[in-house]
Amino acid sequence: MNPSEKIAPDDPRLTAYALDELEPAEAAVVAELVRHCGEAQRVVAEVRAAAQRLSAALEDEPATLVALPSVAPEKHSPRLKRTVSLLRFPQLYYVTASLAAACFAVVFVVQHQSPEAERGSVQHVVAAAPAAAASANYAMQASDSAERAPAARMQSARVSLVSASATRAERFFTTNDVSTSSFPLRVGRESYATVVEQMRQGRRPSRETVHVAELINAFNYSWPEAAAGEPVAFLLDDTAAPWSPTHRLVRVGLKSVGATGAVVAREARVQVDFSPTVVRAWRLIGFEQAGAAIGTPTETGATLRGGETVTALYEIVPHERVVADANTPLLSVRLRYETEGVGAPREIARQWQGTMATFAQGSADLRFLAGVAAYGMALQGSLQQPRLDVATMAEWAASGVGTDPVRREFVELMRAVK
Amino acid sequence: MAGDVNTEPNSDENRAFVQSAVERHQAPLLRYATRLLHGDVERARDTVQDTFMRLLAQPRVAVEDHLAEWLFTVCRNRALDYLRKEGRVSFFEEGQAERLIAPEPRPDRQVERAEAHAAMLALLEKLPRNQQEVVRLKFQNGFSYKEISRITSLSVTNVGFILHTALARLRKEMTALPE
Repeated sequence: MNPSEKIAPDDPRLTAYALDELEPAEAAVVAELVRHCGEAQRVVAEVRAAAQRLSAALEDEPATLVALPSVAPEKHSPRLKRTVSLLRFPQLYYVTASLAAACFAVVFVVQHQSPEAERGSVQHVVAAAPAAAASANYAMQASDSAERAPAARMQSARVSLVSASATRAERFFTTNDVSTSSFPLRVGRESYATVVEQMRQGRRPSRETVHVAELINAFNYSWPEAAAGEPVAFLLDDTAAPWSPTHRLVRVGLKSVGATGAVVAREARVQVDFSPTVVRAWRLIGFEQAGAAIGTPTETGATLRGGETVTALYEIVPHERVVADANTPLLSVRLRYETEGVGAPREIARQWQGTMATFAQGSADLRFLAGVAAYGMALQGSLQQPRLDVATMAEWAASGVGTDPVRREFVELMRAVK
Repeated sequence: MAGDVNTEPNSDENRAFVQSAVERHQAPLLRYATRLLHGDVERARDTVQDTFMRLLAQPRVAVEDHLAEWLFTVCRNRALDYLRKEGRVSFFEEGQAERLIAPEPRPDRQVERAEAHAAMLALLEKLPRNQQEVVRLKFQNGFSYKEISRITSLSVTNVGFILHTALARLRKEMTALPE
């Protein structure tokens, strides 16, 4: 990163960055620019504050409008009363098969009468078809194997449920489509301060202020030593995802060692490769909106400094019956970087076999992380598990609090605010 | 499709799916359609109802992973189609609509917050209609840039620019508002 490069305060990328709308590679570039520019930091904070106030105001906005009144409002009151009441669709609630068939026929005719109006949505449905077909296929495969192996029925049902009913926000990538991922090596912490501030005021944090990656990177974790001769310590562990116990939650952490603030690596890029024979599908928690681009290795490398850490959290859907092969890892992580005075780029890599640890057997760090991530995703609407309540998530986080007062406060706020 | 009974249009399960979609999305859709239709609530009701009738005719697997986006896209197309037929003026003009504040009694401590929200909404009303629409899709309905792009047929870059412009103006004007 060229330190003289500046970002203008009216660059639309700043707004997109503040709203978590950039793809990881671009987000990393902008994060670096923002780090060096006080003016840009002010803009990011302002955009987030404005987003928060807008969301709160729009939540309170009356659901109905009327044209500018040209007559006394009393004359309009019966109409007004009618419009404020909720819509009713009796034909949907009491529909019979024949009535539904009749409705279908009517819609069919209407569609033919206005092809132009439908063009956009038809294109849209076609564009979405491969993904839908993939999940349908997925569900079918799961039910096939359930018939062949009754003992696996419970697990299959759960897997097909997650896949077939996944909303856009929590969509997983199958390793058939994308088996490589990358994550930003530099993640801000701003969201944590905003979220905690709202919770301290007794308010549920507004969706726009919640950035899951920034939340989970705001806490201190225990780090291992770096291997001899390597400038970065790797931290890999996994546990069962508490919200979907057949899924694995894998933490990939990197800590730059060396004197605090000193550059330890330049042009650093990280790549995560999933083994398609073991991993059926995956998602990078906190970056669901980035879509398939999350699988693209970053174009621009980051500068890593001593003392910096980054933690990425993957949710992995394993194949139901993994053919035992001790040599196939769950995933491998590769970090490529350059160092001062050494011309050739270097690469260090780790493989992670995965464990069978239940959630309770996972590390305290990971259990706390899981609770915080679940809460963040629930606030954002990217965790679609209607039966989960905040008290449960707070229990998950509480089980990994240890003696850390910062973690303790967060869990207490979760319990208080819900 | 024939073997995939559970996701057939008009199957019991699909009707349950549409019912839950109605319960969850009808209020935001009505709000959206009413704005698109210049405050014509009756027409907005018809438009939203028509949108759900179309959903009933869709195979569930084709829509469920982007349900809200699909509903808003269809609803918008239906509303714009109606405006075109009526020969109404271009959609992206300055707003002619005025909000009605529901006359609900509010506890004293909420009055200040309600006033701040009303002031914020008043600033929003001064923006061009296209900016208002994108701001609402983002902050009222929670859609991403990409989803808004597909709903409105604008490019993602364009959505980003519109939102950036709107927020820049709101940020500037917000400084004069009470917190």
